[in-house]
Amino acid sequence: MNHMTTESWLIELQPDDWQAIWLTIRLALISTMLLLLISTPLALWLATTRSRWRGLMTALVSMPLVLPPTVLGFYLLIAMGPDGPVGQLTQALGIGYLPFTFSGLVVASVVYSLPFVVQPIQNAFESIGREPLEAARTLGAGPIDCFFSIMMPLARPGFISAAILGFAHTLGEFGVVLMIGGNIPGETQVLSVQIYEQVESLQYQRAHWLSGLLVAFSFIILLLLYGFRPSSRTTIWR
Amino acid sequence: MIHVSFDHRLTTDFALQVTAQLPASGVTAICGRSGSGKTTLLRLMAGLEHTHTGDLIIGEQILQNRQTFIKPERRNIGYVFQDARLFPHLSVERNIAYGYRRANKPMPAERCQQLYQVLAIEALMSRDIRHLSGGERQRVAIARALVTNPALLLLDEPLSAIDRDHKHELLSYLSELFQWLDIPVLYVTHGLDEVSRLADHLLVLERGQLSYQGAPENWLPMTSEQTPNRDNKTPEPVVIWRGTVISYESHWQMSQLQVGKHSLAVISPGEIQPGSSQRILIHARDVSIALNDPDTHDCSIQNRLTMTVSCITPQHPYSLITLTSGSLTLYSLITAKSCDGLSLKPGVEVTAQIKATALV
Repeated sequence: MNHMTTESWLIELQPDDWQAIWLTIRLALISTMLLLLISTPLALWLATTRSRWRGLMTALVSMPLVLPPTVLGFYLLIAMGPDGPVGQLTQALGIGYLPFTFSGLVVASVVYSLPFVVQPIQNAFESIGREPLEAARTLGAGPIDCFFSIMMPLARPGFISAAILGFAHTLGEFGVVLMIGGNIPGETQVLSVQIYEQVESLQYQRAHWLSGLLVAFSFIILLLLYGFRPSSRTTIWR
Repeated sequence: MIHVSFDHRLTTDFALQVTAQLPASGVTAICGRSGSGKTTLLRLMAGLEHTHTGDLIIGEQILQNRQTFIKPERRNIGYVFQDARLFPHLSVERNIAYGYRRANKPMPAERCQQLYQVLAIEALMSRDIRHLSGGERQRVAIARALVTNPALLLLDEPLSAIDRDHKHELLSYLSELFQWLDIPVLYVTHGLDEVSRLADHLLVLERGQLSYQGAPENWLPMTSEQTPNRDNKTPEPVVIWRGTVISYESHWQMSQLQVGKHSLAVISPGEIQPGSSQRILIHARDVSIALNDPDTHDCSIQNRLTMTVSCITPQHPYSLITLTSGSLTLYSLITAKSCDGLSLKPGVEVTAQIKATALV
């Protein structure tokens, strides 16, 4: 390794490695986008509701934090399979079954990373408080107007945290992918699965490169997230 | 006329029950101690607090009754919060534009310019709101509320978050603003100096109930408990007198005020037109008593009024002396020892002495 050059760096990564890298990035980007769309109304509801269902909903959203990914993946596999409710729905809609497809991975990623995206947005909404919203209403802004002109801009740091955490968390997903996606190159073979594959076949050198890449990339992302906010109040959630 | 009637239970032991007719012009002060329901009344009027048992009619327009509840964003009522509540993500200019853009009939441009001049906020326009002082924040908040051209302006203790040195400055801005403004203003405060300086009409709230409504000069808080706390000092009775300016001496920055049959010298920081009326606040502490009229010019106290003792209330170690003259009432807080030494009794004619420095 001591005579390593740039060329040998590239040689270590095979075309199927690159395929796995791009697939992973594509999965993370699409999942993050969907997560932001789903989490925003959910976080708004959790931050403002006085409903007695709030506790139940928070518990459900937080489940992926504590469940082993294999358990989550197993139930998703069942639900999306021919006998599961999601499977029957997708079949009826003419989409077909989701397990072992890229779309299935997207659905699983969204469920798996949901708490990581909902929490920062919910925290951001809660910290705004009702004060600026009341001021906006006396100035003629209705609830929807208030949301876009006051809440969204004030919650921007929360959205940035949420997007980065959602993206980074999806990058590292393994158990869920393996359960519902298997290991199909170009379709479901993401980076973490590819690393596992290389280790299984004793290709330690390639596994080293891919793992190192993931470590460096994740670290840079988290550094971007926390490094530029030296506030002592910065936590993993905001 | 503004008709207000609310019966709103906040907690099991606190209900706000207020029914009042407020004048459709000028400044109405709402006064009372902390927890008397002043802010709640404003919030109910703005629609920020929801109640089904309330009526609010401004002129011809019904904003709320048993069948109707107009939402806060459609009430056309300007609200200035105690803590200003400027939007932190917007500049001063865009804070002001926020309401302007959403208003049905915003304030005409030339009137806006006048408003910015009165409040002296043109220089602040491009500033980041994080770099504004407390007084500047309040002025921006007032402008932001007024450019929507509201039918009524509500101010919730605008001076409370401002340090003592800048209070006086903002008070001058407010006083000028209220002269320029042509809409009714409801001004919540617990500062009696603000009442005497700014208000034409006064409502006093006590534990959610209306205990006085009328002209500020007719309000006589008999016991010290009824007087709102002034800073951290012991509560003491005050009176507000209203007089006519007879003359103004710019050299001394003082004016001569006719109140009933009495003439008083008061400090006037700005030029006042003779003939205009002015209110003064007199604290019981600032009034001393002499038995015979020391009609000499070697005393620094300029205001010596002949009045009659009508009541003596012991408030150990003080004595609260109630003095009357015609329809005027004045309180004097002296030590019980002095009261005994002067052998004051109801019916005795005395000279009440008020230092002009206490009258602003």
